[in-house]
Amino acid sequence: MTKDITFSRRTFTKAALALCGTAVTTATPLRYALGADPLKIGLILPYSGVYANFGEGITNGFEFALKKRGGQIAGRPVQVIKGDDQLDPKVGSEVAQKIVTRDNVDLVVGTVGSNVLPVLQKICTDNNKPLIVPTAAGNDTTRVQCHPLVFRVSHSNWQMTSPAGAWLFKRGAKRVMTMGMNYATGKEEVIAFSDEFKKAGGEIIDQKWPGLKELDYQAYFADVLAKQPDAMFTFFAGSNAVEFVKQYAQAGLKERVPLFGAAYLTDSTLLAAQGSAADGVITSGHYAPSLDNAANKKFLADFKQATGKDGDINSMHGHDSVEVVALGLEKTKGDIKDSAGLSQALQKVEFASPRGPFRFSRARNPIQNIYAIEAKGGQLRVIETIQKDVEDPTAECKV
Amino acid sequence: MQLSTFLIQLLNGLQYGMLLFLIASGLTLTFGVMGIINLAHGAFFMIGAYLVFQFARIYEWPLPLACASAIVAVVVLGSIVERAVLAPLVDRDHLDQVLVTYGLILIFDELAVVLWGKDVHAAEIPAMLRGSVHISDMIVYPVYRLALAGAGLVCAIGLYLIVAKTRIGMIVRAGSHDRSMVSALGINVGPVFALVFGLGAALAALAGILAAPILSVSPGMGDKIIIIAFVVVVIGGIGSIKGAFVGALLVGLFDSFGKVLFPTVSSLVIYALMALILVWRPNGLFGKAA
Repeated sequence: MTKDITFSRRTFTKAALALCGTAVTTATPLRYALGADPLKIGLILPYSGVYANFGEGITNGFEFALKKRGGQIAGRPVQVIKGDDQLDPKVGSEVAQKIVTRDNVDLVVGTVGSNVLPVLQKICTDNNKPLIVPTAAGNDTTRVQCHPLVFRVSHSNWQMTSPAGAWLFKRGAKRVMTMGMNYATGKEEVIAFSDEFKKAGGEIIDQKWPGLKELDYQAYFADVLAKQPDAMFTFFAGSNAVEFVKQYAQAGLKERVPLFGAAYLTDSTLLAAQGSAADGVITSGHYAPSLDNAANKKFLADFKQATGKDGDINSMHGHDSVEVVALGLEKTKGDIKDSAGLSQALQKVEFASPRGPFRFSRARNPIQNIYAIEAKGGQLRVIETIQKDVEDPTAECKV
Repeated sequence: MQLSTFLIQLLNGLQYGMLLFLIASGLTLTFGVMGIINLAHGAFFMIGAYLVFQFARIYEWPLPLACASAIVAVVVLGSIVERAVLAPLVDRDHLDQVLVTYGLILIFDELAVVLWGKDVHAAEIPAMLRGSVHISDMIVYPVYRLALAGAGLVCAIGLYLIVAKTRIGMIVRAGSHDRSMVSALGINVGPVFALVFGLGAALAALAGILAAPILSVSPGMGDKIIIIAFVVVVIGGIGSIKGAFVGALLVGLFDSFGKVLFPTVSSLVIYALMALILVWRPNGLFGKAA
């Protein structure tokens, strides 16, 4: 009896599945018959949570770059399917499963959080889909975790701050204190700086790691006054960066211990909120809207005209993600099925990015310039190039 | 620890404690008197900060007017929430209240995103409170933070006088002790609830306004602080204003000294404090026995 029921249930399920299958296969050609075979891109980003402004900025740049290309890449119309990973690996995994396997996109652009990236990368590479990473900066992505189908458009954490180590020592800082948000990115960025600073001959007198939910940094500042370092090097991002920079200035510390950090500290989206507290803060990074090059001027002017907004680091990342995909696919004539060929084509992409010359390293992380950027009067000014063609170490990448 | 570091941390702890007290007092009052766990209390904190940003920075109203309007607006909003959403929940299970008020957090956070976007905003410190006091070469302290501590202390004293010396305060104290007995004595508890809730919302909004220049004004800013406010309420004993005051000072002091003495585990210090106090006094320092 039981056997009978299971049998009939199974048959029913099979029948239902078969029915669905026919429905899908008959529906697909109808939809596709309307135009050339569309290129389906999954755009998986945090649209809610603390890094929601990153998701929004990247999407603006992404959509602008697509529009600039007439909504087509390598002659194929582009269909974009968006997903909100909420900066949560569990949510990100579900969204990626849906977009990669059910919507069956051709490639994925995502994401921002280094915590979400590993699950996203696994789902994409398991399904043989190229993944273009617009921001998540964990070093491992293009080191031990590197994969022929995973390309990063932004930077590695190491890349952003390590050139600043020797640079700050040369500027005359001998004893430096560091502070960084207590999570993977904060640690990687601050440690990359500290290692190079020590190698150059400097001394790190103290390292502090406030939590992500920290509201009030005042309690850390007494120690800064007592130890009198020559400079303070930091990693803070988002609303934490606004709070830190303001409180540092309010405590009267900025005049006594000059403040340095990774570029996210005074990101152009935060400057208005930081106000005069950010004046004189110097950061190291790969992009600032004031960069003086033709590609950047054109990007900012066209972006402003198309969207009415000012371009920033996030819209630049969104824009460059589309450029990388477009230039790569033009080489394969729009073919996305031959993944080895596609990987090679993407690897060879080279172009004049708004940030300066862009090409990929062997591990598929950009080789790019790192600049010293000073905030003043609500603007970011590039004061000098700290180091040209900075390449994240590729030794750990075996494929 | 040097004497100067000790003094600065003492100031920091007191000042942070005062800010926490403003939020925790409203939370403990609503729970003590109405028996409602209001997770959305942090939203009033956030909305207070956003409104003062809107009125003072965008509309460029004079600051006192901007602050007063923001508080009034939050009290009106709080009263609507209390009448429409929370009043029907008074006799329901705490789990229902937690679910509904958690839903309110999501709604208010999303509302902030719709109205003001996902960007991080900030309010400026008023000109007369800028700068820092040089107590000695090693002790430099921002004037605004001293003002913040002062404002918190004034509110604490005012609240103490209301609760300890007035008739309303007597009803509130009695209500937090035994709600059904108060209504049995012929006191209409409805208006008292509304008053208490409005007061709590006003205090949270005030805390948001005072904190806006040092914190960032961003969606979800209330969620960070509400967790610590709950720790304060639990340590002090649920429903006790005195408990909220002592709890807030303890949390403030432990937090700021923890960051210097135990930097690696500083984020755990206040939770360890809470656990220890609960072992010693399961109902908090000034809580009534269950």
